[in-house]
Amino acid sequence: MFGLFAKAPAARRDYSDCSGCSLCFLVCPMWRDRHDPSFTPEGLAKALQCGATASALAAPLDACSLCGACDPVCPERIDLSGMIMNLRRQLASSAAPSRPAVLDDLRTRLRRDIIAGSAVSRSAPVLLPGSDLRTAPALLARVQALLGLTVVEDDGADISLALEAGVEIPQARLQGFLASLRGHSIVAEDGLLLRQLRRWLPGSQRMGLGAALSSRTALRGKLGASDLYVIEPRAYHADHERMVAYYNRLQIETGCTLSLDLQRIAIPAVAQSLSQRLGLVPGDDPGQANWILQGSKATRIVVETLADRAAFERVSDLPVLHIADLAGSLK
Amino acid sequence: MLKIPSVEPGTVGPCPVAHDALQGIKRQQTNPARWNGAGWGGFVTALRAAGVELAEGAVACGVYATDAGGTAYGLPHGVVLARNAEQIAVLLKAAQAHRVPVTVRGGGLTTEGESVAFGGVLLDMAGMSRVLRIDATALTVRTEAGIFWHSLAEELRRENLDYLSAPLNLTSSVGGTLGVGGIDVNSARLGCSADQAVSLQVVTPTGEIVECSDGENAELFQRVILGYGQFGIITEATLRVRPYTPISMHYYYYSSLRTAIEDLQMLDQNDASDYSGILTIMDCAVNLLVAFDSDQREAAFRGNWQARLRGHGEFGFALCMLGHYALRPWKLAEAMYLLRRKREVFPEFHRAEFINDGYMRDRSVVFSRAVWKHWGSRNMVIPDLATTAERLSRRSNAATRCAASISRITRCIASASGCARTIGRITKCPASLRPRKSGRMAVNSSRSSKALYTAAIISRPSRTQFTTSASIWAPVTTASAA
Repeated sequence: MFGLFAKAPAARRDYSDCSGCSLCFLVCPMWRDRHDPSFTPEGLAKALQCGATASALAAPLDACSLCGACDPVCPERIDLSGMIMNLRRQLASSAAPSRPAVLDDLRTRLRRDIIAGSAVSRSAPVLLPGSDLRTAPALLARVQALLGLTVVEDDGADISLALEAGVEIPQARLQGFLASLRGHSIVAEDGLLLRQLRRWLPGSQRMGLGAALSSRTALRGKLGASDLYVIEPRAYHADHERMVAYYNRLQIETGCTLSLDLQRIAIPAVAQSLSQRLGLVPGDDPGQANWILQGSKATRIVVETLADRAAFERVSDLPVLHIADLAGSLK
Repeated sequence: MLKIPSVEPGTVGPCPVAHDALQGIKRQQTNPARWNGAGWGGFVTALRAAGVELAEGAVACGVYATDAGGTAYGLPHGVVLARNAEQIAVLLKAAQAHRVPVTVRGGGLTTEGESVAFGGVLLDMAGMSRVLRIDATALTVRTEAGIFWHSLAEELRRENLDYLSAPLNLTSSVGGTLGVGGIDVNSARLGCSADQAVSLQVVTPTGEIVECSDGENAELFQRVILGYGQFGIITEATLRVRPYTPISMHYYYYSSLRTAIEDLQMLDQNDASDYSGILTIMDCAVNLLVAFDSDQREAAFRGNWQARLRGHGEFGFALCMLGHYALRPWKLAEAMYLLRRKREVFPEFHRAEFINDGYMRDRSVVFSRAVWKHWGSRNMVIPDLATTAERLSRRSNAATRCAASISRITRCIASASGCARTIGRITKCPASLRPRKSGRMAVNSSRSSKALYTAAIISRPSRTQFTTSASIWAPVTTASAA
């Protein structure tokens, strides 16, 4: 399983290198929803080339779900997700007239003392369950049992949310979090956090929860040709080169259908804007989940995240299972 | 009617479209003067009163500052995202009334600013990107014309269908392609992309919404197909489609571009393959690709034609090159360049995720990714696109020689296929426009090896700029391709 762990990423370019090929349009959920070039990574990059400021780009910056699909398709290797996160940081640090209270709460949480880590022996693999999985203790226990990992108390959920919202992370908080992870192999449910850990801990071994679970023979063997397997996009795109090979093997071995487009980019089942993620506006648009299901002949949907499970349960009568649930009862 | 001369197998014949295409090409001004804005205020007021959304300012307009060529830069006064034919009709009527130039943009894959607005209003057709209905029985699809071919393929594939032929570029648009032709690596068999159009919905420059086909408003249909946007804006299209098949792909390597072209002609004229095309890195390093939709066709090729090809396999070609450069040690840098390109590019054609049981899942994805990655933008090698025709014709570097050869490929494919039909249509256009509309000018005048390559295998539609047929007034309607 740990052969899947990632290595250090190559350097990427910035918005000034955007040549306008529009390949990012093809994979962008914002584009699919609006068909408006302003709401695409290229639109943002081109606007920046024309001197636009973050505040002028507030609407598309909010609309982006940070699924990361644009990163692997960019022929110029521009760090498009990084560009958007950077712009969100600029936006959050500017004197916004009405700052959501939820962001102030987050800042307060980040400034608190470093959360005491549980006693985890050095080099033991650890699981960062993330906020979603913590809401389902039974599933978390099952995941923990399947993977044989230690769940760390400080899973960086506040850091992940800060990354997403562009809120500055105090160095003390960040370094404390990273210090607790150094020397460990890491499995993270949160794809955005995993993406950043790739940069923050370049020598570490880390992987997404979905890949970790689906690499278990007990679970992999339960997948079949009638299954639609829905990949968590952030972790997949953050390490696309290796993940595309991994999931290709999974598809060949099991015969399942993957939630990939023709470019082998993962289609997000949930593409929430930042406002939706923060709970400021309702967000249960079924468009992405329906697009994944269009033309599908699957009789069962297997997902890697609880958010995806909820999304498919809203739009489909098919059974929707978390990958960890494939193992049946664990004795 | 244009007469296509017959070409002996194994020879390169004269160009049937524009005999003088390589001689003294008149270069277009890539950055014309910006429209002065007279009447813009009234136009905007009229448009907004009619409920048409128009965006102004650098953020909205910046994304349209240039095109794929990256040589012409200009900004419109405002941008309208196409939403439906009625909205476009309102826009064109207002533009006529207020004498505002309209630039229409699809995928923006023009090379010298044809889809760049130098003032006026830019109509972005990408806003009309929905597939309206797929008829799997009749094998047709009705789609809005702003859709990218790749987005159309994504929808068709859900029904196990595929388009017939499209430029091997993921972000060329259906409407733009129908306006200029479009060549795929199967065009020798299935015709150019425009040949798959069954019927079109067109908004004429005077704002009429007209459905046209070979049986209904046939003259308009024939004008609009390969009409370079002069006769109206294509808003919807019904296209023929076919059952999807993965393809088996073979590559043959040549040290002579001429030999490769002659073998390509031989294959096409004998209907020996379902797909064929040429990729070149240099004149002395050429890749002939041959592909098949079925095992039967592949077996027939192996039995009847494969032995006649003069190309090598990868290993044989490596030995050939080794011998070539061993005798020319002063060309070490060239050899190293070829080696580097081989290492960079070849893996793109063999990526496991795009191959299933030895069959390529989607040719457009494989080749478009490779082209953008390895021939796009920063890989363009000729810096002086703004060169004069005189200098261009004198240029003797490999890229220019390649341009000449590739222009021949284009006409070879055309002469051997259904493209003849669409070339015939060109002749119905005003004679003064014909030489510019050969589709080969992009090849001839391109600055880059990337564009040259693309023309050979992808032949992406490009390059148009003319007044509409209805526009007797000064403002120019720039109809963009792709």
